[in-house]
Amino acid sequence: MPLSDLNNTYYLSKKQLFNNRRLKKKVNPIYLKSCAFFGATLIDRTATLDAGINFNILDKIPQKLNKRQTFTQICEDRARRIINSTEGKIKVLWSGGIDSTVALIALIKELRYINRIDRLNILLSKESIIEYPTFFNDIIDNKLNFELIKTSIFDHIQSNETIVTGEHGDQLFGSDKLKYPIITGDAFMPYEDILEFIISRKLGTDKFTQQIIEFIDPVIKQSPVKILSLYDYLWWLNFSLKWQTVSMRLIHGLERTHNDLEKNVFHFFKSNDFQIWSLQNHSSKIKKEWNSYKYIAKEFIYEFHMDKFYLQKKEKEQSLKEVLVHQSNFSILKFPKILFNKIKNTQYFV
Amino acid sequence: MNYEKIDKTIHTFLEEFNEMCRTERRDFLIRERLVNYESGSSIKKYNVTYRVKRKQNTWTIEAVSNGFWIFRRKFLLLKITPKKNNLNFTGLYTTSIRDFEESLLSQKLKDYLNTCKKLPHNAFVRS
Repeated sequence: MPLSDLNNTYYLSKKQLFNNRRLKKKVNPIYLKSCAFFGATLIDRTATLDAGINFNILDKIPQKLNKRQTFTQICEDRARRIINSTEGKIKVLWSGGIDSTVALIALIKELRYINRIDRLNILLSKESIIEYPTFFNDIIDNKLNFELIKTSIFDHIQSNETIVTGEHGDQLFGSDKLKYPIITGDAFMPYEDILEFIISRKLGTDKFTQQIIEFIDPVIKQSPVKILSLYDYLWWLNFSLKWQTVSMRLIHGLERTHNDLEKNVFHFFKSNDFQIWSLQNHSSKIKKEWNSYKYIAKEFIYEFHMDKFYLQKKEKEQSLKEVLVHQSNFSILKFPKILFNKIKNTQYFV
Repeated sequence: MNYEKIDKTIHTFLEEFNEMCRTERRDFLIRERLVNYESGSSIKKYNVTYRVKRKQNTWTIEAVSNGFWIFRRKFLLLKITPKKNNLNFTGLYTTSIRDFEESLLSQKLKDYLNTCKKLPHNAFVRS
């Protein structure tokens, strides 16, 4: 990407951000360290960070929190809107995880209601079935149209097809980075006390921790929800800084543009109403234990498919993305880097 | 405060802590890069030894990866700082530990070691 386009961009992949020397010179180095800490390109929806790149923002953070809808009402409404704004087949990317199962159930309910279940086509992998076998057996197999992914998902999506994903669920509820801090109890400590340890743990150095904390601090001050614990902190970063990356990463892989969003690419939880729900229901995202993460979404699933194990024990897992990854071919140009990393990670220097 | 005594107590603790990590197979840390649409998950494993460094009146305990020094990684674990007449722990897995008198340091470090020992293995090495 030419540097002149940087002020008119919606997304940069991690590869574009970290591997382009000229770009790396232009952007704020602490911004890059912050991206490395969070493992994603951070796109600031609060417009307070000095990153060195001015991304165009697709979804603003809602300022008026005047709606009061339940999670179920919003799911039903969202499914209706997706169905009414498209024609023909709707392909749902189902991983068996909580988010994509919520999206799938909402669509099944609405399509059955209007007697158009024939429009549904479920794209799944064997990992999806392993993730939620009873749902596959009871609801999908021999009852609904589905397509099994055997290679990469990109081979199964045509350029004009309507697809629905379960993206943005994590941004509403918290962050997948919270799993171990929740198990150890660190997630509920005041974030000021624990943050430098978490950042150092991610980066393998404490050299930049204070600079990262100070760099991100203006974003924390923008939160309409009081940020007290590490849980609050990581949720808000995910919500305010990672939202757009999540919106764009799949369509970037599909070589489509942001114009396809809400036209033929729908991330189920990417709506203003879900954002408002997240801001208004901060205490409803988790109880205490990791397996209660997204419990509201799990209750929505349970109402439709009564699997007590899934309700009580299901934990957030890695999703369909595992099979979405482009399989890059071995390149002779990459070999020295691979070799160097291998040597670096061995203990032969001791 | 008797800083020499605190130094000694922390060094004794570290010997026991590193021994616990060896016997419980917790003497490594894992950094995980989660899957995204560009690349799959990847895992880096660092064999580590816990060490202390003292700067002014703060003792910082960190896991230091083995290997050639320029490639060494440091992962903060715990900071011990004086707070009025007491000592204070901040860091990972310290939720249950409040400020305490200097005389209780040895006991508090033992409690901390037990907490770390009882944590689920994944939570300790991957957190």
